[in-house]
Amino acid sequence: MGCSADEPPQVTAAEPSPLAHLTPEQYANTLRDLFPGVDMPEVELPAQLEGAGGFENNAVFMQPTAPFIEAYARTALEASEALSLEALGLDCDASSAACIHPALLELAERVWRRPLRESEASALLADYDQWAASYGPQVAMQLSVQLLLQAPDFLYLLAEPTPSGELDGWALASRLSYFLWDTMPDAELFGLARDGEIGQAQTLEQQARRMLDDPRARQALANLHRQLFDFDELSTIDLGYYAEALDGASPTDYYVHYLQQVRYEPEVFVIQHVFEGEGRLSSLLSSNRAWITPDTARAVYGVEIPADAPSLTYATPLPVLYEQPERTFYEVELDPSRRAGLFTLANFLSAKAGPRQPSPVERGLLVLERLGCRELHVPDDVPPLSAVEQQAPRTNRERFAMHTEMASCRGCHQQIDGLGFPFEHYDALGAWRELDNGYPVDASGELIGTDVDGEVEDAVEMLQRLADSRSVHDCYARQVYRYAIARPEDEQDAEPLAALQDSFWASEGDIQQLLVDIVLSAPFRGEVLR
Amino acid sequence: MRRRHFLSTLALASAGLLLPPLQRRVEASYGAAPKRLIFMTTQHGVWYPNWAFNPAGLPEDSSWSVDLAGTTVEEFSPSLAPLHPFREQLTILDGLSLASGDVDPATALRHEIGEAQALSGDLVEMVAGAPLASAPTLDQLIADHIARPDRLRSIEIGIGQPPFSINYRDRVQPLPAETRPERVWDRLFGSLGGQQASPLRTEQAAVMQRVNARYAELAPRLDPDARAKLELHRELLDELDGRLAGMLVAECEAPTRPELSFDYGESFSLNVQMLRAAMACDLVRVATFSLGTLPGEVLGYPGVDVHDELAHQVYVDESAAAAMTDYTAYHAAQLAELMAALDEVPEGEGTMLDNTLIVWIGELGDGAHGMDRWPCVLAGGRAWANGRLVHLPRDLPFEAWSWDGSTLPTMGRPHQRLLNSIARAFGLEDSSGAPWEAPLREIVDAQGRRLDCSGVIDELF
Repeated sequence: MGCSADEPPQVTAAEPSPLAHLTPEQYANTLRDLFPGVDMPEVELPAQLEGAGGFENNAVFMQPTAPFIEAYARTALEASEALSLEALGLDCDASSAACIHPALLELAERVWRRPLRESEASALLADYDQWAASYGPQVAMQLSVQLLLQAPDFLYLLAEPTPSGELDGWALASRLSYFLWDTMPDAELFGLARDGEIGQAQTLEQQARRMLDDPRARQALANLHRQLFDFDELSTIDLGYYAEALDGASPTDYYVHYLQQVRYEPEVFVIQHVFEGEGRLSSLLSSNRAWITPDTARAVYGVEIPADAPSLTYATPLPVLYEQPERTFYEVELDPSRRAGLFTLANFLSAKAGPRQPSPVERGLLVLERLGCRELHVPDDVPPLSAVEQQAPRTNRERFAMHTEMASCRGCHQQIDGLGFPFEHYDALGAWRELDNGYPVDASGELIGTDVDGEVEDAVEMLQRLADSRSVHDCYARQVYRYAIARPEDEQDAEPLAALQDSFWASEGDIQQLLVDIVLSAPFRGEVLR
Repeated sequence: MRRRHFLSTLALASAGLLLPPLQRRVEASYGAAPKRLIFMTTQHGVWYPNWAFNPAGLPEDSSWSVDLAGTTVEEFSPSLAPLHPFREQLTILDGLSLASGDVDPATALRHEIGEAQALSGDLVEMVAGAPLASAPTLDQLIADHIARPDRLRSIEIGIGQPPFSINYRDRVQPLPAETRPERVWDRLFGSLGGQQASPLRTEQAAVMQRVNARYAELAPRLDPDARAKLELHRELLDELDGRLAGMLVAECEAPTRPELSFDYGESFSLNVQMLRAAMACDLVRVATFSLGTLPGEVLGYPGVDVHDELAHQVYVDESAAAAMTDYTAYHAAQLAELMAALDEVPEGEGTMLDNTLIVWIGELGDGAHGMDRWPCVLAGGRAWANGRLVHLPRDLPFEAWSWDGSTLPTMGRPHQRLLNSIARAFGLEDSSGAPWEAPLREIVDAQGRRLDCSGVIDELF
């Protein structure tokens, strides 16, 4: 039963880039931007298999299924119901075709993210006229929107081959905006596509930097990290066991109110550090400056929020399952000997835990796979830990350490547990603990297979070391690159990816610069068929 | 580890609440194709010693059948006791295995292999690191055969945190389970017309046809992968188009749209009620309930990680085996709830249950990832004579993996034969008109011997 960790397997290069459809976030944001000021329906698409890096935009797995088609039809219907003629911003008589035809074509161009061919435009207008004759202009416009929203030109990120084999400017504008903004291109990007200028390197760089200054980039980057680091994986805690720490929270208090704070803390952390702070990967992995809530301050971090602590309001991104759309977070400096970066926040620590005790395996695996880009081969099987109960382990660590005592498990678990045990100072809520089951916590661990190998005393030391690791920087660049191209990387990506990794390391882990460099890379700009 | 007396509670509940109708249905001859099919899948297998039973003390190494009508609840196994009130509409099948799962070379967890194989009957195909089924699953093939073109083809319902998918529309095309009851409602009832449907709804099908033309026009211009996706999209649009038109004129009183529920049992019950209502109006004929791991607090073990601390430990910890016995009993009570719900709806000379085949299986044989002793309970329908415990000898000469590192000399009969039997019950044929059989007709063991997986379970028919 062997086990080894390898660099991710390479996919053969003969396959063309798979066709991607809009993710739920992209769809919802696009509706918002198509019809500003209109209260649009909740967009909820079926679940999707995650690809490498935890990303939900891996086009390999994007297959149409009946639930998808139904969700598209339902959303298009609900969106059309929310619209009136005013949404088209008409300043003429809507009952006249001369007035409404141009407005409809202009809308269609924005929905399909490119100008319509003549045949497409005449078909659209003919349908409109037919519906208008039966139901009047308002309904005809609504039905036209249903049609536009269900067409492949809206739902898919199409890239029809051009004679030169490169992306045309319209497709590039979409690729750029869906990568950096998670939404459709704005008027400026459309203008550059129309003028044929968007493919020029200087223009692309200017646009990427402009886009990063826009609030849409913040939300998009938070969404990237949500997937990469499983921010939306939430814990199922034993509320009775943690009743004191949670102030006797009911299931509703916990799942609906408390967990939603835990859910968004790391998104605020990413946004603030990348866009308002130094913007470096090392900050995400090791900074003790965090944005927390009064509830987590009490239950997890054991601090009082100072009365003069700066605060910010964070709007909950879609989908909206819960009523409270905005939450307030307070900026605090947490104890630097106990907290260092995203992986010492309540979110990661509680999501990767059982109902009472943390899971060093889940914690270690996430660090190994997502920060280390190391993918373990699945073992033939995992035998039960037969002797655990008999040996009466005193601590959570001792119980999990059984893995490394069994020869069949040692190969994998030495690597996993060495990264997971350093988090043993944090219980299943993420609160600091000196004792586990009455015994002193042993949070020592070991880094294996990195450029910063060696023993560590605890999570803070480990994370600070990972924050300075070249291999961690290389992995992060690989993950963001995967997200940008929305498919698994293959050998043809090796060279451009290596160049991006070099420049990311040279920039001392400047995340915004990495995003710009990816936009400028040949695979992002040029590929249609590989 | 605490041991809750969960079973006794369940036994009381089943005695009081789940009694079958006193007026027995008209005895009908069996051999009729069911109108509907429901798969119910649960995780982590069973604790076999408390699942199987042998009231007559018959030999393990031979094939036999016991009439369940005369058995007492005490003679039923602890795990299946909640089904005792419905014993005459059950066929308990003891003696199958997921042998093809044991031989599958995919680098995937045994859970994942079982999930991909259980309903497809074929080996796993790895796609960008994900283990997927390499063939369509039987529910979908039967949907092709029995679903109405003007109705929903099938519904895949998830309870709790189910696996991503156990249903596949086609090779490597998973159908994710819907875990939100209100979204299940939308899929089942959301497009019913009603009296005052607006043109935005009545014209939806016309919109769909125009959209369809757009897909047809675009697809040929794209590369093969993109073309295949758009062709599939188009095919699904066709289906939806037909269904929307049918649903506009369908007569059905929809139940109230449910709210989001975090409660495992409540979520199941809500879905059972919705499915029954939908099936009573013939809005759907094929369904799957994919039940995720029962949470510790529901099982009576709050704070316990059921997967790791109970399921994995069944062979080495008596209290874990007892807990997993209760675990299966909980699901048996859920199956009884589903049967009771269908049995309340009169249909023809019997009830909806008589016309619906329910199949309860899982991705594994036991909590320690064994693939032998794969449990199967068949309920309802008149495809074969129910009211039986069918025992098959474990005579497949395949050396199977065992939790303690040893090998088992033989395994139960391959599960492909169950799929083939269900297919036969529905009269499913392949493209040449021959009775359908699961794609994997034989497996090859470590010694290179070929082991037959074809055919049906003769003892059923």
